[in-house]
Amino acid sequence: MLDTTHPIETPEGVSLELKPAGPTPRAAAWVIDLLIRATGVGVIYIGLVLFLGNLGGGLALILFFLTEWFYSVFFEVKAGGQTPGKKIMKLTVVNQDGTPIGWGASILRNLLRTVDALPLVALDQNGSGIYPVYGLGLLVCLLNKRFQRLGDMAAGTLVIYAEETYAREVNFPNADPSPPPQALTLQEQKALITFGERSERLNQARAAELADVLTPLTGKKGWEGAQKLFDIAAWFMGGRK
Amino acid sequence: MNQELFEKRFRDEWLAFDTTLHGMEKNRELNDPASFPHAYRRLCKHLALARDRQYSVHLVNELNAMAKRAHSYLYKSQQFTVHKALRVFTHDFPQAVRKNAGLFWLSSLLFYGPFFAVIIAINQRPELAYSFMSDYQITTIEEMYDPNTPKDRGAAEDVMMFGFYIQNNVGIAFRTFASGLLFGVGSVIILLFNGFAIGSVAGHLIEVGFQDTFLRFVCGHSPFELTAIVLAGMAGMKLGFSLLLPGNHSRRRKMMETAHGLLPVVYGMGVMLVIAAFIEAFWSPRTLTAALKYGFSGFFWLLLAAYFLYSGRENEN
Repeated sequence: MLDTTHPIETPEGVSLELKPAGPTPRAAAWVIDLLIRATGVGVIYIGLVLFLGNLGGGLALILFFLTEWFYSVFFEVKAGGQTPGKKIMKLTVVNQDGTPIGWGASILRNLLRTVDALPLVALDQNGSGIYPVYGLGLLVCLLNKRFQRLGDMAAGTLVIYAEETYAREVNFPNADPSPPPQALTLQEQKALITFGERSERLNQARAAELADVLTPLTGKKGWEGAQKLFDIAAWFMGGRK
Repeated sequence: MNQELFEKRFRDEWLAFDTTLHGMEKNRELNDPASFPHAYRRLCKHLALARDRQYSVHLVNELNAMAKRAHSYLYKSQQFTVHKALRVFTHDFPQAVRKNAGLFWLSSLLFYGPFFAVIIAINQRPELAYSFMSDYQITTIEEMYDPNTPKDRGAAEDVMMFGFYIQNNVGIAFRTFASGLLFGVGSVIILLFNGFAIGSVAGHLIEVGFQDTFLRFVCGHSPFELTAIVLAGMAGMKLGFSLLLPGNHSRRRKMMETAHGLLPVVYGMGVMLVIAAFIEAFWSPRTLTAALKYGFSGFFWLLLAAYFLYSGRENEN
């Protein structure tokens, strides 16, 4: 199957497949985290300075420093590899071998974020606002089959899609198992079974559209064709009438 | 065995295992720890069978997802202990510095070289100071270190400066380290730049005769701060050169090993800079006798030298 998966060999001898996440969801997660940090730090900063003056200012600066470098580290290690932004985007950070990330790796990947954030561009004339563009990180990420940026490579980590528990209750609603009109190869059987298992997640129009591809097999078009395919899939899954 | 029979036979077992995993995730407890590895191995066997017999993608994904969860619990990395943390500072940090002694001296050269060169140059030609700093900067530092204007700031302002020094200096040190990834170039540039910058400040203040106030202020935190800058540059260069000269390993592997090996240095320099910030905010501004100030400073220079030379030598090969 054509997909971006990264298999890891486990000591049990079976390989588990991780799904590395590309730059787009990671960028979105980063923006969300940035907003959370900015608002949080902004609110606390104003509060501290208002109530504690210079003392508050000093504490606020320390807080600013800690969130700048260690916000991600804290969440990655303590919250199962997920900062709030990543949690929203359903991503998680793990070591390359699939184990949960530790302090050292998390600190490394976040320290080296500085390099991935290059180049820095000044978006206004007086140069007072310098913003990271993450160009280098993006480039490295795309040249890498595991979507690792420089920080990930040095730390030996991956950002993968976090899988929710895969509760699968597949019954074929209204399926009337019937054998296929002709013998099918193993690959074709697998394709039909997969189609059948998606029956609940596809809407009618889409299922019909896909079923039209197999009109020569089913002899039917549209939703009728889709239902015929579901019947054949149910038959392959072991249902016999 | 076809897929349906396979699922029917083992569905209960998988459900039970899923409940166990769920219990671990939510409540962090495990009823029967001894049986967990056995159950996990059986799951792996089922996953391997399902893949081998080319059962449906959804079944394989389901078992794969459960196996991944279990894998991450079984092979969770070692947790933080105070003992290990202390060991970093008694052994790992000084050992790492000694291991990279060559780069340490190179880094020192790249920093102190420009530093002293600029001081001497300004001594010969005082107007050079204006090439390194803007008029505004020069007036600022002159005002800061003028012995005739008394300065006393309250405790609250000290805390403000403490926060500022932490945020500023540790940030710079981290960036020095990180930018070393660009084949070491970033770190070299930052070392040279800081050498010139600090040297020009020192050089100009010596020229206008404010050296006494200046030295009394900076001597307290210099041992920690300057050494930390040099260490940051050393670590950055080590990282960058590991990419250039990977030896027998692939570049990626070498970079990963070097980066993890440099972690004690990162921790050490962070702590040193926090100490320096503390001294700079609370001790350095106090007007005390020269003997006390220089004595304090000298003591810490010697202490640091002894620390890096002798600490953690017992089991070093």
